[in-house]
Amino acid sequence: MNRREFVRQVAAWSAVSAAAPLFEMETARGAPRGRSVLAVAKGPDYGALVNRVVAKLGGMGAFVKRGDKVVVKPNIGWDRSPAQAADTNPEVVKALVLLALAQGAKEVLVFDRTCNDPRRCYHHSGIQEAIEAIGDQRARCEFVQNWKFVPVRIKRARVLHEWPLYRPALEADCYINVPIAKNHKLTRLTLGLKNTMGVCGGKRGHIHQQIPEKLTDLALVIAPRLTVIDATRILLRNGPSGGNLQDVKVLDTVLASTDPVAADAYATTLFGLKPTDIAPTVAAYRRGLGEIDLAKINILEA
Amino acid sequence: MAAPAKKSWRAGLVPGWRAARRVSQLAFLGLFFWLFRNTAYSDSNILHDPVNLFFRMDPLLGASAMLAGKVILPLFWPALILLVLTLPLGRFFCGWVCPVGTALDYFHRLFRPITRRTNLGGRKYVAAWRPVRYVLLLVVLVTALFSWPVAGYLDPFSLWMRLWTIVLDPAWYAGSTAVVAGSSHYPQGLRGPVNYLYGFMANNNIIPFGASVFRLVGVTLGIAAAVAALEFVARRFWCRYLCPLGGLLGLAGRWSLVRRLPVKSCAGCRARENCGELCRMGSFNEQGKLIPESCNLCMDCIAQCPDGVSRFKVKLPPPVPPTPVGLSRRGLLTAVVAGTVIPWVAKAAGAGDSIDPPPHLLRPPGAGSEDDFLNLCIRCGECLKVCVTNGLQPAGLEAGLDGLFSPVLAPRMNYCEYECTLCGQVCPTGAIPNLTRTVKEKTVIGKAAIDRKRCLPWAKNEECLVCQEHCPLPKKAIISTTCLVKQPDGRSKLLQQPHVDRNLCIGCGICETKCPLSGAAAIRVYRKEAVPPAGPMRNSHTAEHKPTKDDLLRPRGRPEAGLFFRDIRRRPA
Repeated sequence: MNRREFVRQVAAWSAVSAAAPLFEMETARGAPRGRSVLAVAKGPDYGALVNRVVAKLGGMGAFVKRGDKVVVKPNIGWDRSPAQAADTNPEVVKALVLLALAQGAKEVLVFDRTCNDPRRCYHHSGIQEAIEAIGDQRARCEFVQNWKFVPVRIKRARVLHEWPLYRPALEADCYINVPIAKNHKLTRLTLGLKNTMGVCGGKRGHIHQQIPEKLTDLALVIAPRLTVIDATRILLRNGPSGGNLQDVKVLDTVLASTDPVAADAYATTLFGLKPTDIAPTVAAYRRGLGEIDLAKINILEA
Repeated sequence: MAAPAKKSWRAGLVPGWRAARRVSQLAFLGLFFWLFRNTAYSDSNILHDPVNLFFRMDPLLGASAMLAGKVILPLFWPALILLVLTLPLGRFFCGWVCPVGTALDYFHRLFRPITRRTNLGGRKYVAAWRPVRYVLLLVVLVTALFSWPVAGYLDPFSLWMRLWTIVLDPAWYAGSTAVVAGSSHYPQGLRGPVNYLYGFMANNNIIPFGASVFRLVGVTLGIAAAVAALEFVARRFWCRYLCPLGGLLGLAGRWSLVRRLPVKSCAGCRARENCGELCRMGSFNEQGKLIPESCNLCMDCIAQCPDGVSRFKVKLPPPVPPTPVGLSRRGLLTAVVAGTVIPWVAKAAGAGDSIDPPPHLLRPPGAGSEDDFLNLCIRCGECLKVCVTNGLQPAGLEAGLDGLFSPVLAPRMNYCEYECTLCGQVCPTGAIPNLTRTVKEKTVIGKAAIDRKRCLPWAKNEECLVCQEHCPLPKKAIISTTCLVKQPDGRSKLLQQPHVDRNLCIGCGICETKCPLSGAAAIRVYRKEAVPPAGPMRNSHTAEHKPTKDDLLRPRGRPEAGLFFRDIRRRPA
């Protein structure tokens, strides 16, 4: 290789590494066809609740096929214990991961971009320990790595036209959203739509301006096949970080739906609110991402 | 020429004292790195390893902190052990233990091809420099007495730890991560091994957990580079002539029982270099006599002696060592005067605008008054390393000249994690007290205040509340009031505006970290005595737009209307 050739090759390789791929994404999925179905279960064994609601929706086989890459995305945002109800309950997460593994998933990734120190959040929430306790190489509770955020251009977005999103979430064959239902000052409640912020890179504070429309734009590209809302312990006040056990109400409830809007709408009623009280839910409904009217949702007791 | 070269090659292989010294150096370097790596959060609020051990066995830092703080610090008991060991063994620490010495030895070895061919590093007898370490030692102790301890700037461990914490470790993370981050562009066959290797190193604590960014990288690197560059003047220049810790240990080991014999290098030595020329510490004076407080027992002179004359022996020392300490009366006077005057100058340099500390100068949780804190702080950088968020930063000149390299919380860089108590656990002197979690959660670092001229809900009528969301207190120290604001299009909307509850706020700074504005945050943490007065609970333009019944009944698709009354009730007294 002479010098000119060397320079040429170096330039070529540098150009390849420097060019950050800009993904253009169409709407991942429109409104669910037919009537939205939602399953809800109540009981003290949280793992069993998950099994029951998923079974009612046709079993995990309806969502995960053999060899799939699955992402289970809980809320691990805060350095809090499961009792404080700021993060998704580890038993709920674990049960979902087990179901996906049982369907022969190739890998099941669990992650969240946390608000507090990630190590503390993963540990304190109990989720890391729960996933490691499964002892299956395919199930991994991984810290978010900065270089895996890719800029995504969201076609048909109204406000959030471009944002860095977590590549493994975009590449998953099956993305399962597992938020915890809790109080949030700005949006009143944080549910499934808001939980998607955990796959967002960049300075997420910017999403808080015009948050209903921005969360809806995000939902265009991060469309969960299944939304499982953990309402086993809900946080009534001082959310989303909580910290006071007196703000926690034990409901022992888990609900699931393939319709992200329907899941959020139903979870809202657990707080004594109307689905239309939550601006992001309303915005997503108006953009046709799901059903907000409880009367039009098939609600199944599991 | 061939014969001595062959000799030294063989000596390097024969297991002996020199080999033992090298093993010891590597072992302690390894210990340093192991402790360094474990100076981090690892799934527990409590650190179990004695990560600050190297500092606690440093009698210089111990003496300085105790003199400056006018307290007895029992944490420094390992330093006492080191002193007791030095009495009979001499300055073994410098040759067998000290990681800075090891690093300088390897630095020298790295550049040996250059130093051999040029005359660099060949100046063996620089007698005039010899007392400098005692002058510096005295300066350290006297400045400590007069409350600006310069120990942290001259102690080898502090230099070393800061070099790794501030410069080398973040660089190592950035470099290794860049390699794996680009791996998606690599050829298929390379991608797997790179990712596997990275995963292995990350899981086994070889790569630090996350990126960290520090101020004063250039200064830190410059100091270290200067110390290393002195190797080109003479081997172990730092250790021979400058290191005040080496000076202290040398004095303690002046009457050690382990003596090198003969006390003078032989006149008719057959080797290429005799002991005096060979010695990396320059321990032989102009008359060829051994200076016991310079010898670090590296064992080179034994390994390379062609006749087996040179040896170490356990022997009672002569009551008067063969060579004087060499600190003249002039030197002594200079040291004492300099030690007295330096703190005055540093205090006179001050922090700038005001006699009070600057309003945004935040110290780690539980730190005492500015004077007490700076007296005890040895600038070791342990707290900077252990801080989970990287929010603790070395101070530049914002804390005054006398605050250089002391830790400050820089909330725009990152915040203080609510339940974390690690900085207090690693602090070797208690400058940052070791608080329990429950005490720490109530410890006030500062108080936040909102700049309504920049805050989005206040200044631009945009919704935000990111600060409120992140406030870690179980009963939030940031509350909001809902008000009706007029938009450019003439319509009104309900908007939540944040307020800080000064009674609850502990100044952790997460609000300042997460504030979405670019540049300075619209919410900033002040020292608690410097926090500006809070504005009224409502801003003026809100008062003009009293909500009408119509606004409340038809909130135009803004369902948070119901919050209106509830929030007014939460107005603090």
